[in-house]
Amino acid sequence: MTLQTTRRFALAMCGAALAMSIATPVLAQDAYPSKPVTLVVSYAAGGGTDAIARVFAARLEKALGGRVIVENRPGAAANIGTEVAAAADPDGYTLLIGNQGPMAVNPHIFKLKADPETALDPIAMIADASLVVVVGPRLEVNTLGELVEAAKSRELVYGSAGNASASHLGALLLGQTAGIKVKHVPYKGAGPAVNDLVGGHIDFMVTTIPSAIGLIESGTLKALAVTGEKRFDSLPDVPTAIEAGVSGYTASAWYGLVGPKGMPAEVKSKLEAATSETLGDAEFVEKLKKDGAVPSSMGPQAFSDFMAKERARWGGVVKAADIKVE
Amino acid sequence: MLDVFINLGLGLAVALTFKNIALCFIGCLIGTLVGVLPGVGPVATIAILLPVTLSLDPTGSLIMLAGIYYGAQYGGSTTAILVNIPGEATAVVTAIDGHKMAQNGQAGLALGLAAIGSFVAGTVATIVIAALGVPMTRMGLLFGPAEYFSLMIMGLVFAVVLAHGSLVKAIAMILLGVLLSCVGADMETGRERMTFDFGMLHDGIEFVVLAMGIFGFGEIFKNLADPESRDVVRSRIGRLWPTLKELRENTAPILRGTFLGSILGVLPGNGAILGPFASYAVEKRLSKRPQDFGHGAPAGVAGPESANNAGAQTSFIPLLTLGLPPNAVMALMVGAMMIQGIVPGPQVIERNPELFWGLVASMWIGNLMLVIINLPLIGLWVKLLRVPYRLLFPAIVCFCCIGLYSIANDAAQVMMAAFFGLVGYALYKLEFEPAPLALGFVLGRLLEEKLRQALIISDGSPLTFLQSPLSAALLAIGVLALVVAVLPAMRRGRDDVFKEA
Amino acid sequence: MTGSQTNTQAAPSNGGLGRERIAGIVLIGFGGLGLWAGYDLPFMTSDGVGSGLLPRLLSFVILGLGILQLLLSRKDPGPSTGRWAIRETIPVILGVVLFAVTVRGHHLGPISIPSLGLSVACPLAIVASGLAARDARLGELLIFAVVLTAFCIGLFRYALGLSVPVAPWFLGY
Repeated sequence: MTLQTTRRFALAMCGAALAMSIATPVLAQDAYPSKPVTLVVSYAAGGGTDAIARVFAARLEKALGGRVIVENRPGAAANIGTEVAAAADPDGYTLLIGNQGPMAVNPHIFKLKADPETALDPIAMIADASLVVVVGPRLEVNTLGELVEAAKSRELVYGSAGNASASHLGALLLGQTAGIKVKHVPYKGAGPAVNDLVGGHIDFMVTTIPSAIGLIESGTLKALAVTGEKRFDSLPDVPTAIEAGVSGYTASAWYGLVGPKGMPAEVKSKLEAATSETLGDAEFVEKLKKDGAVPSSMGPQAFSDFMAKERARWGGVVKAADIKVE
Repeated sequence: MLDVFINLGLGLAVALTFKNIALCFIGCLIGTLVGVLPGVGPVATIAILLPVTLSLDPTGSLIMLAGIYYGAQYGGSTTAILVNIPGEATAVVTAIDGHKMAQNGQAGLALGLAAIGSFVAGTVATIVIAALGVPMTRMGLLFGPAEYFSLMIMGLVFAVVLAHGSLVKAIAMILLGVLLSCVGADMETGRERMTFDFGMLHDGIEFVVLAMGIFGFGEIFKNLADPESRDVVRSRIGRLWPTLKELRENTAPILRGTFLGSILGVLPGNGAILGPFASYAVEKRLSKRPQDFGHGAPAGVAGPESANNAGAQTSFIPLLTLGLPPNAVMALMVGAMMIQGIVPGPQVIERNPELFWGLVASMWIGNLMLVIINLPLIGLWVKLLRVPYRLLFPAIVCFCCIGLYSIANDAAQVMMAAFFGLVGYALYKLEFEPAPLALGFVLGRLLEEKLRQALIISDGSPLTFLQSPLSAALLAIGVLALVVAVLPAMRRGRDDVFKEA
Repeated sequence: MTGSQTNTQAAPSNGGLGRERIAGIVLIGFGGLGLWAGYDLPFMTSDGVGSGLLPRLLSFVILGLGILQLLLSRKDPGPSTGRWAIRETIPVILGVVLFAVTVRGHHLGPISIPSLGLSVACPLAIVASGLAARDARLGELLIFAVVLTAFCIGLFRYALGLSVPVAPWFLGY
């Protein structure tokens, strides 16, 4: 071995040692995630929440630098997912898409094995999906005001995607806020209900934007109002319910990231940062919009306060309508 | 009419690019695979593959997803015929005579008839979609809850016709199926019904769990108890392909099945499942040898299989013309379109004609692919039956377990299927037929849902079922069919009613 | 009575009961079970059908059909149901249950099984159920179980992308 090669070798060794000494602390910090993260979805594959979760998971993988696997755990009106997440180790490897139904509505309706407020830890809000009030050929009205008037002369029937779904509660709240009596016809999913709305078998629906937007654009269904605080980009001519004269009425389906109570602070902040990075991604935002949702960035505290507020609000709606399960 | 062919020509030009043919092939192949595997359905597969399709153009991704859907419909029949496990409600009917044919050494004939029937049905249904899409959508919209309820009543009557043993037992099985479909949270109030506080029953019993239990596991118990007869059957493996004579005999059933399936396919909320039943009932009624049905009548496979495939295809009509998804798979297709920036609805045909007609044309190409993929596979499937049963059934158990688990990522579903397997075996020993039970179960779901929706809308007045002319007509047909089915049985007297299977 | 006896022969009936008679009793049982399970459900509500209407109506009719079946079988109770394959059903059920409790773990009172994944659940299900066959060979079954498990893991987890655990004790998922 010549002197030169020996020197080179020694230099290389030093370089490697230096590189390692720098790399080691970074590695320790990067310890999470060291294995795939499971993202629990409380609904079967193929639903609206599932679609948003899968798009989110695919983007979160990049931000987090590790695999994120969507696992559908449907059942018991989406309460199974809550139970699964609540029972998991709080190590950040089991997370849950927490949305309006199981987080804010179900605690008022079911006797839960795991209360989302005490058993789960909010990490970050992801998205907010406004609903839309639509009428079909059976009800000849052009504005939300006219719908309220029509409801005074005869009891209107509305379809929903199911008992205690966002579309059920959204319509209930509309009735309560506007002071009209409306009758609920539950369907199994938004699809069959929209179908009967188009066929003129029911009067109106408060439904998710993706389930009706094509029919609104073609004029088959009439959109009277969106239920969010702001108008929706793809429906610029449709006023919000407040603009249309039902003061104080907002309703939306929202989605956030939650985990079991007691996650390490650094894991939580890493997840929060990754979520907020994801929400800043233009492509992801574009995909959300196509699913009828807008990104809604909230940190753990803001998200927690928001959930508490929503829970109290829907509790009032549920109580006034006397929905409960034995 | 000329327009139709011009449009189809445009569609073929889109669908026949190398990339789209390849995507169609991949879709059909994946679909066949998940269809053959018990428990893994097209819904879960498409949901998982949706993010993958983002990198494709809209037409290509829809062509592939559609291929998965009808590929799965087709693959499901293979499992039903070979091992008596109907993975989807529509395959229950195929299992009745298809599996009997396989036991008689005619597995090749049954699979061949299914493939050819499906292809004919797919071809006709493609033209129906192109020519009659819009009027058929309007017909579908006439079915509100009241009309749908009456249609289900008619369907239940068909289920009686389907039975081949004792009438009392058959009716009891249908009603038991309807009763089982009531288990779970009430759709209106969310109240638990007949769940005995089992969490796994809260959302009701999954069809696949029931079917895999009473058909799949039940069949295994049956075969294990009777190894001699099983082996005799298995040693006889007949021809792989139907002869010209057999094809000729089954032309009429295939065409009738295609017609029924095409019409019922456009109904919202899984109306397509009625197609195969209706076809079976019609074939049994028209047959010169109705006593063969239930014991391996080829027309009992060819007709329902054609109806199944035609319905699978025409269920695209409400989606394509109005953007209304009639079932869970179609709802996913809506999602796939939205993600690609295409808003499904009446405007698609004008704004994206290449997508619309490309998809329609790809259906026909997909059906051709299914034949190309599956005819050579028939030989393979039949060879699979030659695997010694002592190894074949543990493999079936293993596949069923994984499939059952994957429904909801829940092991409780696996246990429940085992329970239904014991029930299925007991029913077999007592000569109750499982098919009417499964049919009652499927129709029962819709029956109660529509009954209650109709009565909410009509303020509780049952007259609503007679006030709608369509509903009244459907009820009348049902009553008539019941009389036709029951009267001869009564005249024949007890000897025939209790005739040995 | 030999094991292979089929039930088409007019064998002496099970303790005086024939197949048709047992069928009637079973139907009465189903009807009764339905009535019992749904006894607390409201029949009608103020604005339509209650959640108990259909279940109760169906249970009554099934009960009635059971009685009719008993009456019809008075003269001809039907042949014996033959041998019940208890020896064959138990291993299969055991295999399925073993799969269910090991794939993701199970907690029942003092017994707690960790999540073992397909790598353990599949071979257990295959070997346990495979022993039900009278011509089962353990060695062959073991080799078959290993091959089929590898195939299933590749197919379901990697090819189809299902989120079923493979070997959490080894791979972490």
